[in-house]
Amino acid sequence: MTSPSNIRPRVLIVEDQALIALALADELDAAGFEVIGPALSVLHAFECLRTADGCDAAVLDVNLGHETAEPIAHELISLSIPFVVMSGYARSQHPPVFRSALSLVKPFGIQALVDELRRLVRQH
Amino acid sequence: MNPLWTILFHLINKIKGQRNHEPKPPSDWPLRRHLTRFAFGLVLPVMVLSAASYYALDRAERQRFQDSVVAEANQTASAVDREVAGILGALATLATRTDLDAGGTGQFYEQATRVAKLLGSNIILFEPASGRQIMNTRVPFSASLPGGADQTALLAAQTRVPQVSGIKIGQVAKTPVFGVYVPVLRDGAAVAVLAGAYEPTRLARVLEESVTKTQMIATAIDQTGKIVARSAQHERFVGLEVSNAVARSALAGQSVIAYAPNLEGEMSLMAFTRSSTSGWSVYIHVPTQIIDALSFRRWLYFSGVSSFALLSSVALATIVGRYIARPMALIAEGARRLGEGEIPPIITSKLREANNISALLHQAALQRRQHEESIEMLLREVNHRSKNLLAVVQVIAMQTVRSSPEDFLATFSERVGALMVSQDLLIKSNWQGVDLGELTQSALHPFRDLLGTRIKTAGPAIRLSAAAAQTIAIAQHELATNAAKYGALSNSHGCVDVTWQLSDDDPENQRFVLTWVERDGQPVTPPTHRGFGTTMIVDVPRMELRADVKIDYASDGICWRMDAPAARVLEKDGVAS
Repeated sequence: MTSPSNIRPRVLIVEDQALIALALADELDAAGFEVIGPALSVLHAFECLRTADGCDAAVLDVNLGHETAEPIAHELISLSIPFVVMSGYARSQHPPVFRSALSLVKPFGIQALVDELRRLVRQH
Repeated sequence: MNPLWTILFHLINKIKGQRNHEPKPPSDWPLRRHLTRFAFGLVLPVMVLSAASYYALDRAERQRFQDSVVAEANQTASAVDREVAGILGALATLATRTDLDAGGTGQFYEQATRVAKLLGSNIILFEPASGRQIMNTRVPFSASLPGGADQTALLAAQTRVPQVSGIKIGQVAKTPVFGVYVPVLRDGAAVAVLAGAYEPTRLARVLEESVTKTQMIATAIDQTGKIVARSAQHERFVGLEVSNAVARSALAGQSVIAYAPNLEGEMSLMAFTRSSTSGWSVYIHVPTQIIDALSFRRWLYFSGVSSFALLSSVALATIVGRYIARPMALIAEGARRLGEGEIPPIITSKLREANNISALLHQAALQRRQHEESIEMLLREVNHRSKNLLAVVQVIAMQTVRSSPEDFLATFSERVGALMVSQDLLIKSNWQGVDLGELTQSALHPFRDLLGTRIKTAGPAIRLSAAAAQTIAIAQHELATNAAKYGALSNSHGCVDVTWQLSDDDPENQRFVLTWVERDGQPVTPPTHRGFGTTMIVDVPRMELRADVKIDYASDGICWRMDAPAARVLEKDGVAS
């Protein structure tokens, strides 16, 4: 699926900290993406995916308070939707499902995320 | 206090004091050495006791032996007495014959010869006045006899009582003999002296038969100290004179027991008894060597048993020491492994205490590992949280620079300060939640002069979760900043009421309501665009706490009301989220 240049690529944000989630949404919106979410929990994320009927890419925080984003990652893989991982933990501490994706260790520069998302959307 | 106790008390203190002045270095000995010492400590008193018993026993045994020697001497003397008495009896009977009155007839000679044969001796008749032989059964009746006077015969005639001579060389036989003399009395006068001449070998046999113990030798000595008979080596010693002081005092009529050298020069134990019938002395002698040998055998037995006891104790101490030392070594090894962070195995030795220690070490190692794992987990968690916090700071910086680039540094610092408020209180409470009253006081710290006067807070004690504390602290900070810039705190008399409460519903449906109401402020208008400030007082609580947030832009100040499920706000079970 290739997106026409006038259509903004849709990115799902999954991050349990509202402040970060909102700021990310703000930044990605400014960078030309259409933000889906942001979702604060696994349940919320599935809801957003269903409502939006899929997306072009996703940004996942591994650790969502009392749960991890593992189920979403599995779902995204099964839907062939690429995603970027962000976490305060080292990559080696992630569940295996996250290891294939690019991992941004918090705190990271927003430009790195934007570049990676653009690359993923292009490849998609 | 009893004076004795006082003295004792002082004495003990003095000794203690001296000890304290000269501290001995602690002696560090292997277990086996301690046990060996212990074994010695146990065995030595027993050895001392048995040594004392040995000496007591030895003395008693020596006494018993001495008593048995005396008894033997008495018994032997009695045997000699019986022998002599028998001879005397036979001679006395012979002396009653009338046919010897006339100096002995042929008929008497024949009778005497028969008796002599019976007694195993020669019978001699003496003339009482001269002491000369007038008849001797050793030679024919009419043969000529030696003319010398026999002193014992004279004595018997004079005293008119039977006499026993000492050892002498027979006048006729020319061999050592002793004589038993019986005066032949007619009307109170001695008309003749009848004597039996005996070979001492006969007495030697008596002695031999009387002595029951082989190591004892019986010797009979006559009135002058000459040996009459001996139970052993009789032929060698017969006729020799015993002239030591012991023998002399024995001959003087005393029963003597003494240590003196015997004729062979051996130091011996000697027991003398006087033979009343003969006037001789009989003594039993035993070389002290034999007594000492018996004693030595007892000593050997004692020292053998003692040595065995000591050796077996030491051997036992060694074995027991090994029994204990091996598990100890295993425990030491376990402790070393514990020190290196490994988990030592539980040993199963025969020493229960060692097994218990080993089990405790094992347990300690497991606990330590658990502890290490929890520390590791905590460190990971701290790492995670600090990175998250930095991410939040980063977001605040980005958003602040976008919304108010002109006074970025001041705004950013204040916002980070507000973020730190909840962090500080969380750390203070060891991540067990934050008290809302305390949080509000801290968040409004920049306006502390107004707290209690123009800013009033009211609400029950509530412990907020970490996420709620952060959200509320930032929101309150943002509200206060706005109030100071545009609202009730921008003039000189406006007031702010901060209140909160929990609804009375059951825990699942309970609501938490926090309000910020400004009065007597400036008229405020809604912002024209949604800036980061709005995000922090509306969007973040809405998302983070699932709160309904309402803002009323009233004429004398804003009214901010946040209504959230209590479950999202309150600290659960004291566990930090």
